[in-house]
Amino acid sequence: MEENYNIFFADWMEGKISDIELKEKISEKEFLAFQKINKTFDVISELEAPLDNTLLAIKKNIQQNTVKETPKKKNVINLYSKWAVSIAAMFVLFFGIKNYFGNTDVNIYANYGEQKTIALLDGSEVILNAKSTIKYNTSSWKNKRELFLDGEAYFKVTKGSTFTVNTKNGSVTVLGTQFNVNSKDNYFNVICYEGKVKVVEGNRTNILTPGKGITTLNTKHKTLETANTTPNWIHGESEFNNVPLKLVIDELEKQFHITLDRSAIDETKSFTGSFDNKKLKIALASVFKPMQIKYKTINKKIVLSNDNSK
Amino acid sequence: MTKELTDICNNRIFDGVFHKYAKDLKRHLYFKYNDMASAEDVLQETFIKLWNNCAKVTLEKVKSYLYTLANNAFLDIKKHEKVARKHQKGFVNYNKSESPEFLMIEEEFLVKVEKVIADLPEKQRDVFLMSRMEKMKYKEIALKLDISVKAVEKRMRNALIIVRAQIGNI
Repeated sequence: MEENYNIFFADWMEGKISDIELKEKISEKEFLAFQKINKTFDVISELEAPLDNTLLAIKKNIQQNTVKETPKKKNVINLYSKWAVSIAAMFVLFFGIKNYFGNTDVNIYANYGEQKTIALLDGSEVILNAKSTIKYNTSSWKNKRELFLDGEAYFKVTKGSTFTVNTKNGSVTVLGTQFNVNSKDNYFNVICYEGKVKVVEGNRTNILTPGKGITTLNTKHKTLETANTTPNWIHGESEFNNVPLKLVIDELEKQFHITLDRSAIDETKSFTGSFDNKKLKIALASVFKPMQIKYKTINKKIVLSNDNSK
Repeated sequence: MTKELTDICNNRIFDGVFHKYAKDLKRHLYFKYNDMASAEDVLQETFIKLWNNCAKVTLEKVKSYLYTLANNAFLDIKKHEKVARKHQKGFVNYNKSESPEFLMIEEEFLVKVEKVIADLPEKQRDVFLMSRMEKMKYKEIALKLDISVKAVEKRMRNALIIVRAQIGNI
């Protein structure tokens, strides 16, 4: 009987009989005993197995911990310094290319009916009138405060080295002051509101004091005076002092982005007065009524004609 | 020189300590947990702790240090299990009493089985150890011992019958 049991055990261990078959032949208690012996074999096998893998796992864990603990700081610095180097390299490359192509120019342009206030690098302020452009170079600005103007702008210059406004018609040089420059095709107008302004047109040099101005129209030179402390256009009014009607009409077109047909009128008549920059109706009336000119809107164009009714 | 040879922070000394005590410690832990995976985990943890405190431990005291660490880890795990069980009250493990996984292997029983295996006739013992302990296939054993697979089977069968007979009633 017991010997049979031992044979059953061998058969079961070798997979010759299944659990169910075994259970039919032996008691439940004996079945558990078989299982226990079988498990003990496995446990002995595992306890006796070489622990090389365990030691490897321990070493790996120790290494990871030491990597975590040792020079954390150094790693961080390395990371950032690498970043810093690459960022610096980017800047060098970027500005290098920019300088190489001489392209540090800044262009600021005010469109039809627009006014732009610009803060320059030295804190000086420029108010740019409609259809006007200023251009300056950021890299040379530190050495020389110099900009180029096409159109009209009002300058509030902070004190410092000379500040030069170059135009096609001449240059205006100051040391911290407030002045207005209006440079159009054949028209050049500079008015000083504060400080002293030097205006150079070809061979002629004028020094303007506050309230004084100069106007050059087709080489005809005139000095003028104003009681204003700032140009009227800044407050939304375009002001003219004895200027040809052509320039007034040009200004209307710029401020309101309109087209005026002036073929039927005499543009050379001079005009003194101002117009509102916001309301077209009022502006047209204030320019053309005193000049005895009729205006009519035909196909989005304003056609001007002489009013002969009077 | 002597300092070098007893410094556990030295990699070679540490490995020596591991090879000297790890097997017994694992066995000790196994009978505490009656679970091989836990024994293996705590064994690793214990030796990692030893490394972290290697400068504080002398070679003479390393054995008791290891067992203290292992026993403390055991207590920690039991504490954790108690908490975990609290939160698992709703779950009942139906397998627990039936599955052989949960058969308790007492140290005395294991020692007895080991002795029975050791006392096997040499031919049967070699085959038994290669097959059951080293998990070698009959074909591999046959090749190694330069005998037929049939002969391996026969020796193994005899070994099993003898082991079962020698263990007697359980």
